[in-house]
Amino acid sequence: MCSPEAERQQVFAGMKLSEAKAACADLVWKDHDAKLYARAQQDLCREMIACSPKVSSIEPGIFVLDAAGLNYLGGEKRFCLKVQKLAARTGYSDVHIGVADSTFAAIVASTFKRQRHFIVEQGQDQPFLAPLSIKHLPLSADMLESLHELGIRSLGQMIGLSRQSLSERFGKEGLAAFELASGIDVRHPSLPPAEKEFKCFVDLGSPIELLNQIQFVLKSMIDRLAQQIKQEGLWAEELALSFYNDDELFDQRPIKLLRPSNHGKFLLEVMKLSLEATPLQREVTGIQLSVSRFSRETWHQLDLDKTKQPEEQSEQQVLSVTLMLQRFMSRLGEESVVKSVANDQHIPEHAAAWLPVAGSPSVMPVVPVNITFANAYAAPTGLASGLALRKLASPQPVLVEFQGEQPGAVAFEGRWYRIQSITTPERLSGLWWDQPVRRSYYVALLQPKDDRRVEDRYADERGLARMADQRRPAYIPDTQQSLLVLLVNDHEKGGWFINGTFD
Amino acid sequence: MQARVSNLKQQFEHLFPGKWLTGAERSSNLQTGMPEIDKGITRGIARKRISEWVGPVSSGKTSLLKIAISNWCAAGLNVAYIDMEGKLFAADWAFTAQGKFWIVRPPDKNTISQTGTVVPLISKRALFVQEALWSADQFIRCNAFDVVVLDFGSANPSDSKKRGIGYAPVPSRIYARLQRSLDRSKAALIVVRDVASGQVSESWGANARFNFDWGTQINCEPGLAGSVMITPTIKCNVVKDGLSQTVEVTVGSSVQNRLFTHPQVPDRRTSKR
Repeated sequence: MCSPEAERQQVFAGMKLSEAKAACADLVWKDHDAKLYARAQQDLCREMIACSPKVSSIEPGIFVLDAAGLNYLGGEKRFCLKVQKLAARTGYSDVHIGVADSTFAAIVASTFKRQRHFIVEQGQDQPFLAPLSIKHLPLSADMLESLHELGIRSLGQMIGLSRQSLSERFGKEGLAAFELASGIDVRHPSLPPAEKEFKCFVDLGSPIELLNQIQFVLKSMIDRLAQQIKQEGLWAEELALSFYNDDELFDQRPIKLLRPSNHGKFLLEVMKLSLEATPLQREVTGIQLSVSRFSRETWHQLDLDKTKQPEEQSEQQVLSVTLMLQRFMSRLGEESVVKSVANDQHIPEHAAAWLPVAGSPSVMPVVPVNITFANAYAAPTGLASGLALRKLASPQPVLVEFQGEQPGAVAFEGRWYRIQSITTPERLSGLWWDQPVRRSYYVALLQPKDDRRVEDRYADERGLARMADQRRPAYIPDTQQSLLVLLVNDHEKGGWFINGTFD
Repeated sequence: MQARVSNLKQQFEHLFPGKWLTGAERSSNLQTGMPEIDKGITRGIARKRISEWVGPVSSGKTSLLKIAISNWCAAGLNVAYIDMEGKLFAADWAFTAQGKFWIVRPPDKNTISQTGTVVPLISKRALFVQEALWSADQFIRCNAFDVVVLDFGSANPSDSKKRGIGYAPVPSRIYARLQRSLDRSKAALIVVRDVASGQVSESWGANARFNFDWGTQINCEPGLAGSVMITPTIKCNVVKDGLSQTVEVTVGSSVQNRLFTHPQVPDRRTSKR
């Protein structure tokens, strides 16, 4: 978009900088500041409340005003003139206004024949739009080309198509375009958002000069402001500090922050640096502190993705993570920070390996897993489903009491546990070329055997005296005392082990 | 005045969830992907705060943490886990997701002593407690991790008295120091520790406390020749700001096809479903 002044100097949108400078020698390059435009847009919105109670901005440079109920206020024409006059007063002279029932029709009317204002009569949106080109619709290049190939040039031809066929061929985009062409638009003007202002002023009463004293006052001010912006889910991008001496403003400094923050201590440090770099020339009797620019706080953290090119990451990001890894390596060892990598091996202990994050080994100790297959067929949520096992330091040998062919109880950590429930074994063998493995894996739910607490509770609940052993039930399930363990019969070593508990 | 109104809104939100806070205010909480916890009084896990994740040995706390971490990694968040006792099983944590999941494991017996002297077992573990706290501090300060998990593991009660951690509450000075680091970060810190069954050990400084235990319902997934997996439901008691709520979470059972990269060969343990 170019202003009329720029166009007069033969500067157009899409030109290269060198071309534009050749056309206009006084041209100055400035980075695009989206915030500046948004703020200007917001300011103009507030000005326009004088014309209509509902004003909103839907795109840069496009405002939607509620023009309903103007019959007793001079009609729509007078309304247009009023808006034009107001815009001109705020410095925007090239204003085009369209009045229609729907927002889309009004936007099209504002560009119609480049008139200063154009009014579409009530209920006439569809006839007004019908002869116009489909280029007015916000369509993708592909859809526009497809419609041209189908011989559809005007909005009228478009609404002649069936809604279903458009939906089937172009999906949501087709449906949205059909509704706009029919004069149906869900965008409506709304009340402008309330202006947020974060400002505080302290009248000191007596003059102060020392940096420490000023810093003390600033601390209380910034703590209050930081808390306010934090509560609103915002952070500061720029602060404005003003110093007064007997109602006379003698120093005003904007403090632009390197990165946005709502941390009171950090903001105070920044202000202190500014005051140290440019000391105040006079005594201070009043201080005003405001957050002049702010934005919505984001929770995005630094990126750890090594696959990204260095230029895609800021120097700060790379330094922060590299330094942290270096600290871990020097303090805890090279292999202290690891990640788990799936290994194509059916023995559970070898199904994944811990690989160090820093540096890559010359020989990968894992065989890559077919991830697509694993995620599609291993379990409903892929590799992350199921209970998590917490290993014991080393497999713990246990005594097993059998009931028939099934394990019925185990002695673990000096206590007997009854096996309340057990799975069928998963018998796995292999690795004959390295260290042969022949194991049966069971998942067992263990319940403490002869648990006094459980018995006492049973007796209390029933209000009965101790029953004879033969009449006492085998056990009362008490999930608080239960252990779910991985029980392993190692056929090579000839013993039973508990490898860990499911937690 | 605005600050007071915001504080009041947050208080009301605790009492009548879902009505008082705006989207921006809620985004400071990380959703675990488990609706029972996300719709509860904590609204997920709070960033910049310490959440305690406690329960007896074998109570389901690590399993639920695994589900939450896998969801966070799938959403592109980075998670660091400090496994103080090296008890995690590698195969459980081999996520294939967008976000990063780094684990700090205890150093080898020979490398922990930097001075080269032989360190007794108790002192060595105490030394690693310091290293674990230092590691958590580093992860929080580097501003690259959304969640830091500090797992104190399952210490013996007798041992915990000597070390001041484990079954005993985490000292408040440790929480205060970690909270200071969190104030400058956007990370959430989850402290995992074991407590004796039925024991209530309050720690000062935690924003919310999640107590876990097996629920009453125990599901056995049937296979061709008997049950192939036992998955108890997990009971979670959430305590925050004096309010308490108990929910039950069901974990999806996983009967791994050990031959999963060779789909042509059927696994006889495959579930009937």
